[in-house]
Amino acid sequence: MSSNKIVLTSSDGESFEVEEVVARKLQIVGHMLEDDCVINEIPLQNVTGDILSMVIEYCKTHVDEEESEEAQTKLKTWDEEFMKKFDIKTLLQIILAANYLNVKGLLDLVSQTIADTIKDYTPEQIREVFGVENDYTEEEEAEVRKENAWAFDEADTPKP
Amino acid sequence: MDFRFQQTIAIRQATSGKESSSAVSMPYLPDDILLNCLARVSRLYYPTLSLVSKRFCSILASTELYEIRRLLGSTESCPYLCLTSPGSSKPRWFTLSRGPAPIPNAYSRWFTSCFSPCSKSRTTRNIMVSVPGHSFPPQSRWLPTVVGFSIYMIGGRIKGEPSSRVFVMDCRSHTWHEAPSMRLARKRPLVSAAGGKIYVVEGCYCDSAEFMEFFDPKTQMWEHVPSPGAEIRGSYMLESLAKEGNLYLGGDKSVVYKPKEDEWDLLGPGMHFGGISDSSCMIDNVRYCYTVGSGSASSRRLKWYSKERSSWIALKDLEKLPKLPKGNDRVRLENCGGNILVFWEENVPSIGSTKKKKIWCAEIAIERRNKEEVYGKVEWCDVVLTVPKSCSFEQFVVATV
Repeated sequence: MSSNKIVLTSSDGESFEVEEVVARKLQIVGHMLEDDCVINEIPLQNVTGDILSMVIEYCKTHVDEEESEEAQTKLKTWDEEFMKKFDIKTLLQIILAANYLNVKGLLDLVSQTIADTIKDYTPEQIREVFGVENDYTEEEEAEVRKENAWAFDEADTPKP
Repeated sequence: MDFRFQQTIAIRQATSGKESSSAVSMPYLPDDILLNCLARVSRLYYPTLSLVSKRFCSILASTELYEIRRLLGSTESCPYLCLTSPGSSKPRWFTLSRGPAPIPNAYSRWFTSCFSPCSKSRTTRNIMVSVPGHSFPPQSRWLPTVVGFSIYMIGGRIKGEPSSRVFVMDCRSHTWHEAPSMRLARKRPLVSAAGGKIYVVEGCYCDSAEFMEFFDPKTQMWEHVPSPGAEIRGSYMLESLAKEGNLYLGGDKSVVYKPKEDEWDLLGPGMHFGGISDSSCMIDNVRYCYTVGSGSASSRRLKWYSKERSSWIALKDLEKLPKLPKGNDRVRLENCGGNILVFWEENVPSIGSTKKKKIWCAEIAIERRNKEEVYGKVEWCDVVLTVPKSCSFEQFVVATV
């Protein structure tokens, strides 16, 4: 494998010089390298420097994916520790970057971490974190209320 | 490069102008990424998650999500409960949900939290939430059976008359549809699912030619199964049980039907298959049941059947399980992904005019240490629903979703 260096530049102008094997872990870069042979500087418009540095850290660690059970366990432990560093908002930025840069392993890892995190959230917390608005209208609420109302409710409500 | 992503951000920024700068930095996940995250969450949390927004709700009910779950190998066993009340012909369906603190009084297209049981000290708790019922004609005496993510209502009576109609709930989206009708309406059907097919047997004296038929969900067709001779079949059947892909039938004679070989075998004269009742369940070919011995409450136990010793043995280490009620008809057991799910009822002192009862549920993990000992571990135990006392427990099934 050549030790060719590639420079990755983030949307906010930060540059990272990495080994070609590491850069190829970003499939978006891999495809570019296959299309044109001679590139050594690649601008990545949809990812900021701070997030890109984390993606690169992941790719450097995962550059040789060994088959041995020991290596796999070690990587798994590293993944867990790596994920612990980030709050949910950073995780959301990393998942978007992993999706854009097309890093399958990181995408799966962050998806699972987000899944494990949000399961214990209330709907309000999720709306806040994901920037989602409660778009149920009052009529819809009333409709669902009617749909799901207990047939037994009438007997339940005290008579006026 | 990824135009959709850029557009999404642009739209997001344009529409959230009024929300100050914090909204701009809020990452917005496209549907495909959100799908991938939500597919990895246990189904128990879906009722809470679907309260977030309509988009979350529709993603959680989508076939794409369930396809991802299947590919990830994250299908789960999901219990469903059906209750009826006198004066209402419509059964009510519920599924188990786990959420943080009490679920707020919000509504979704799928679920509504109906009643709030106690126990607020823990960070999560389990409750039964309502799922939509069907709008087909009301049936009585129907039998439930499950194949994968579908719950079938079969062999019911409509206006008191035996009906051949079959209704199905898709547990992924909680929507109902009507499946093809049976070849004929049956007076005393016995229903079992074996090897992904549904077998319906006529239990009472009947035209021997129409003894049995089966439904294949893959082909969506009912097919006739030729009846065995009278020397095998006997004159009536009382129970049916699917085990290891075979169908066991018990009546004045006990027989087994092996679908793969299309073979019938006589097992012997009328024998029972060992307490096939609602208060028992089968896990890894071992039968577990709830028995009420004579005397004190300590004789009320969960037991397992040892084939080696031909006897029922109590599960060990279940001190944490609350005292179960006396009548074993008030305790239901079901295999839920290899654990025992126990449901039981407890009457509560009446508040106001309506007498109520609590429905309890406990999940028990099983550990088989050796041939003689099986240990149970109570994973959790909660009041999952509080309903008027007049409600009756109709059915309890577990779907794989």
